[in-house]
Amino acid sequence: MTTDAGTDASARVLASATSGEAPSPKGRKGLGWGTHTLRLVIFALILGLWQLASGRWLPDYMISSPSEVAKTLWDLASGSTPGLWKDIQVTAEELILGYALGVVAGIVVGLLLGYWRAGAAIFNPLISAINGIPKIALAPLFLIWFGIGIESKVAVASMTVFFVMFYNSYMGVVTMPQDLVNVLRVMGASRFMIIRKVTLPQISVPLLAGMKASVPFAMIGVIVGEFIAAQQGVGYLIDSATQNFASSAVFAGIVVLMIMMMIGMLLIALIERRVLRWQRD
Amino acid sequence: MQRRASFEQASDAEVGGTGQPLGQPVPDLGLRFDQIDLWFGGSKRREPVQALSGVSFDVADREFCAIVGPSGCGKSTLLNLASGLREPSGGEVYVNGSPVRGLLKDIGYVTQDSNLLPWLTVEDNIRLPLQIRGVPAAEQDALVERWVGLVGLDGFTRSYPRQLSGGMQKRCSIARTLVYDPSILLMDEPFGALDAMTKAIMQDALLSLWNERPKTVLFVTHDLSEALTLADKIVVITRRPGRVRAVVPVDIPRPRDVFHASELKEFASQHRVLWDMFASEISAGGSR
Repeated sequence: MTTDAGTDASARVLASATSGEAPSPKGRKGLGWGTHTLRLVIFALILGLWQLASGRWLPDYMISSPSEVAKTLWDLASGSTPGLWKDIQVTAEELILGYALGVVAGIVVGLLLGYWRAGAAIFNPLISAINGIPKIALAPLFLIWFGIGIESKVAVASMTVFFVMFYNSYMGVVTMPQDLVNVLRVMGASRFMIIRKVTLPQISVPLLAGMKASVPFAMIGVIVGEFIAAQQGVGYLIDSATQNFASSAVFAGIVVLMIMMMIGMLLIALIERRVLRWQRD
Repeated sequence: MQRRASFEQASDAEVGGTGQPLGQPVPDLGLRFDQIDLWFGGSKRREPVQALSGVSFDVADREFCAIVGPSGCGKSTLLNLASGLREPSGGEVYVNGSPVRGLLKDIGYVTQDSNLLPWLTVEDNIRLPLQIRGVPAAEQDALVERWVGLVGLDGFTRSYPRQLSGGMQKRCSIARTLVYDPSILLMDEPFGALDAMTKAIMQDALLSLWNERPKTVLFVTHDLSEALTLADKIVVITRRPGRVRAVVPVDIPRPRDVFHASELKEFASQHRVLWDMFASEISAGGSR
């Protein structure tokens, strides 16, 4: 339920960011005021229902209430309940490091096996087998290996991201349109020129798609890692609040995660807009 | 056995026509295919397929030569051989007098699909071969501007291929090939996917470009009328494995009017002869 709300909200932020920033090009109309208003009305309606249900139809400790969550968030953000900013910092570090590591490793190995067919034949079954493991199941093991600090969370996050990026870059190389490569070869292009003019632009499509899909995966990895064992982080905040039945703090943590995800997705969307300019209408 | 097959074929077709013994490099020749055999595939699971068998013909320097034949007869493969993208299993291809070894620098290849780079604008697509050749920037600008004008893409220089119609993409692709002025032009059914009107306009444009600056052209098509309208000489290839069925000089005088060529008497009579030959290749069927 919470993830649904999260993706929905981030999609909305992306949509409004794109339609707001670029002068709406011909052929694509911006969303009308009606749509925006309706979205707000529905959002307000859900919040209102939630507030209404809290304590009346469902016990307060289960679902808290929007007003309670807002108050808790305010206390946390203003520092009267200490620790939130440090938690955010820790989670963001784990997220960024794990994501970056997974993206880089995935691309490198994907390109390597994409070009080295014999290697792909040898390693692909192994990679598929490891990919078959739910990465979350490895989290406890990583805690034993890398300790309770950020390293174990970085490891879980990068592991999940790695496979997404690996498959995307590998398929990107394997499905490289040979005709385009040949056109350049006939023109007398060097290997370097072909990589610059064909391979990289061609592969940027699946890579960016992978980078976009990886953000939530990285977040799941980090948060699960923090749930299992941590001393800091937003996941730790949520987990410890749960154990105290402090549902307003749980929801506050979830809201923080949602906002972090939106920022992450927005950054990737900006990169994508820049790199894939040629694809846009 | 291969030899024998090619001798049989040689007896009923005018192979070469220059009177010079095949196998000797000839400096004033644009292209020479000398006893080309080509086999495809051949793995543990699949039998190798013979695509070409003893194909021999010459294209003179600055001659416009069309290749016609049923689909799957290896017409396009001939272009890959001439460009050096593929090596024959037997025989030798000569370009401008020397045997082809690997990719050649002085060849332009217009493929069946436009094959423009989707991430480059029209302008940058046409500029690409100049960049590859290290042409000075000022000269690049001048050439790109000239060719954008010649193929009528002014006003679209900043468009991406996706935003162009099929005909415009084709024109961009042709400009991209001619901009570096290759001495030999290979074209693989370049207008096959276009509607009749656009096709005629493109043929007209190609002919006027060629009249202005004649080059050796090898033009693959499955359209006899197109071949007759454009070419000096037509090479008819049989169904697979492709052999040269005949080499037919076209007697329609130049300059030709693309839009009305088919009304000429010569056109009709040659079309009939070629069509009979062509139809017998198609209906001879039987093998796959």
